[in-house]
Amino acid sequence: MAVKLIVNGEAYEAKQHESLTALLEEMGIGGRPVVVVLNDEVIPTASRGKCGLREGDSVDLFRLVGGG
Amino acid sequence: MERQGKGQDEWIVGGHRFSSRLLMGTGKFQDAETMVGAVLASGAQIVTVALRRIGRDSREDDMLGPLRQQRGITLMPNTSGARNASEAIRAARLGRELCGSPFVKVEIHPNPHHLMPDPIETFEAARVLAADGFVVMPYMPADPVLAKRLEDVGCASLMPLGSAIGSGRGLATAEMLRLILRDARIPVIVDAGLRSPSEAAAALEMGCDAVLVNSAVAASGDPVAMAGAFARAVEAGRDAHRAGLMPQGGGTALATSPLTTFLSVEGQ
Amino acid sequence: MTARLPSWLDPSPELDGRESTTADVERALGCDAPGPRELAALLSPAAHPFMEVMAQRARALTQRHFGRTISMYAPLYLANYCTNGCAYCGFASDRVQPRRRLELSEAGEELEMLKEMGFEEVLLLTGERSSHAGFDYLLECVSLAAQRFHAVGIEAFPMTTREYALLAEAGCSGVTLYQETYDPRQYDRLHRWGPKKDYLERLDAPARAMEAGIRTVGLGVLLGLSDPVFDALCLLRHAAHLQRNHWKSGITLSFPRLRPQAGNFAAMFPVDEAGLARLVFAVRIVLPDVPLLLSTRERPEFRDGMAGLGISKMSAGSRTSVGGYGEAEPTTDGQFQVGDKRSVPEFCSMLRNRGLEPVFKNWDSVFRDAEAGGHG
Repeated sequence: MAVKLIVNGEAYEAKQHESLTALLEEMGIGGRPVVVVLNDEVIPTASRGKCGLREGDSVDLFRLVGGG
Repeated sequence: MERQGKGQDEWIVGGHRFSSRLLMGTGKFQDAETMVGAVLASGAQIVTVALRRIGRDSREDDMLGPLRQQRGITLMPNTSGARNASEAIRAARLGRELCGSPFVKVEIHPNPHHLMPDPIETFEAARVLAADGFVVMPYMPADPVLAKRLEDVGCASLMPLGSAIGSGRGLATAEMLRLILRDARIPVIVDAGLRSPSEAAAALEMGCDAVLVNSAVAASGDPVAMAGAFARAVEAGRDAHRAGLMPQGGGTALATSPLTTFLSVEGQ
Repeated sequence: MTARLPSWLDPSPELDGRESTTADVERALGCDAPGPRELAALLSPAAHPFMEVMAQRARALTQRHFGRTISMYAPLYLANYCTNGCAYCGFASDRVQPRRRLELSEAGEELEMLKEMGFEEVLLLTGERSSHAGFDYLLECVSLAAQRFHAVGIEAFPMTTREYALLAEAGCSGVTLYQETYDPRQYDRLHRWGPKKDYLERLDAPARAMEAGIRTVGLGVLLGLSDPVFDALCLLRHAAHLQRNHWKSGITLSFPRLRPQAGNFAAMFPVDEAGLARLVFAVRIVLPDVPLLLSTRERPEFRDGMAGLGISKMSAGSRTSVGGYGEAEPTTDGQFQVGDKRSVPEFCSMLRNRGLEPVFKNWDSVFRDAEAGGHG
C-alpha cells in the first residue's frame, strides 16, 4: 500500500516505504551521493536501511552541485 | 603569515597542508565537462561546491562525479543561498554529511543583487560551526576588525572579498587587505571580484596566502585555458612575494630642507 | 640560568643573514608591508647615507598618523625601594641612597601639582615589588590618580593577569614594562639578583596585561645594554606578536638611552644621538601607527629636533626622584639624570614654535565603562 510523503516539498506516493534505501531505489537515485533529511533530521547513510517511512513524513534530498 | 623555508611553500589551513594557492569555484559553467576541465587545469586542491535539493528529474547529471574521483581535491561545500546563520549552519551540516570533510565556506549574502556578505550572520554561523568541529572558511567583507573577531571564534582562514562577486573590479579592497594581512594569525584567501590573472598575481604579491576564483574562469572565453593562466599567475605572484619586489619610485627623493642638522653637533 | 629566545620572538627566521646593501635600504624604503628584514636594512651601515631621507619619511608618517601634535605625559616616582640588582640602574638594592615612598596624602599632593602643571596623563613608577611598595599600595595610588587624571599608566613590576585586571578596574589604562634587553645572556648578566632576573616572567607580562583588558602596553629597550640592532628587531617581533594576539589593545614604544647616574655604569654598546635618531626613524617607517616616546633623559636640542620626526609622545618638566614636584629640593637621588630641565610652559612654547600642538588629553575618562577594561 502506497504511503503519502512529501519529498523535496512536493507530494509523493511511495510504494517502497519500508526503508529510505528502498525509497531511493524506487526514485531511481539508488547509488548516487545524496544527503537524506527526514523530518528535519539528517539520516546518516549507514542508518538508511533501518529507517522506515510513515504517512506524512517529509523527506528532503540534497546533492552537491556546482557553486562558488 | 610567517615566511616558510625556501624549499617548502605549502600553506596550512585547519591542520591540512596544500601546495596550490588557487582555489576554484564550480558555479556558472556552461556544462560539466568544461567545469571539470577548468578545475583540473587550475591545479586547485580546494574546490567549492553548493548544495541543492534534487530536482524532479531524478536522472540529472552528477556534475561533480569526476571531481569527486580526483585524488588531491578537497570538495568544500559553500553555504551560498543561505540568508542567515541558521540556514548556513543547516547547509554546512548537510554538506559535511555529503562530502565527508570538515571544510565549509560560510557564505551568507541576504541581498541577491550586490551579494555582499552579512558580517553579523557570518560571525554567528562561524562561531557555531567552528565549535562543532568544522574547518570554517568565512567569506567576509574586507574588514580588519571583523577578521580578528572571526579568528577569535575559531575560523581556520579568512576569505575577504576583493570586490563584489562577479563585479570584476579586482582588488578594490587592497588597503584593507594589507591591514588584515599585517595582524592575521590564519591564512588570508582573497575571494570574489577578481577578473584577471594579473589581479590574482597581485594578491599573492601583496602577501595573501591564496585566492579563490570562479566567475573569472567560468565566464571567460575559454575557461580551461583561463584556469591554467590563473594557476601560473598565482605561482608567479607567490614567487615574486618571496623574492621581494624592487622599491617603488620616488622613495628616496628629498622634498624639504634638511631636518637632521641638529644631530651634526657633537651630541653625547 | 639563561633563558632561551621563544620562537615567536626570534627575528632570525625573517632575516637572510647577509649584510644589507644600498639596494636593500631602498627596497625597505619602498616596501608596502615592512618587517624585520626591512628594519634590519634601515639600521645597517648601508642606511647611514639615507639619514635625511629617513627623517623626512618619519616626519611625513608621523604627521599622517598623529597629526601635528605631541601627546604629553608626566612621570611620578611613587617609591624607590627595590630588591633587584640591575647593574645599570640608580635604584639597585646595593646602591646606598635614601629610600622612601610617598604616603597616599603625599601622592595626592604631587598629583595635584601635576594637574596644575596641565597634565592629564600620569605614569606612576615604582621599583620591584616590595613590602614597602607592593601591589596593594600601587592599586591604591592608581585609584587615587584615576580620580583626577584621564589616563593613568604604571611602570612597576611584572604582575599576574588577575592583578592587571584589578588595576584596569581601578582605572589603570596603561602598563609600561621594558624588557631592557632581549638578549638572554646579556639580560642574565646585567640583572645580578632579584625577581627581575626572570627573563620570561618579564617578557610575558605585557601579554597578561592585555589579556586583563589594559588598553595600552608600553614596550622598550634600554639602549647601551646590548647590540641595538638585535634589540630593535626583537622589539619589533614582540610588538607584532602582541598586536596579532591582542587586537583590542594598543602598544607604544620607547628607546631610553643609558645616561649617567649614581654608580656610573658604562654602556657596553653605547648608542650616540645619531644612532638613537636613526632607530626612531626606522621604527616609525616600519610601524607607522605606533606611538613613539622620548623622555627628558635627552638634551633639549635633541628633543626639539626629534619632536614630530617619529616621536609622537613626550614628557616635560619631569622629576625622577621620589615625588619631587612639590619640593624645592629632591629627597632622594633620581633614577637617571634629567637632560632636559625645561618647564612645561617653556617646552610647549618650543613645540608651538615648531608647528606642533601639545596635547594633554586624548580621551575623557567619563566615557569609561563602569566595569573598566573588560575584555568584551
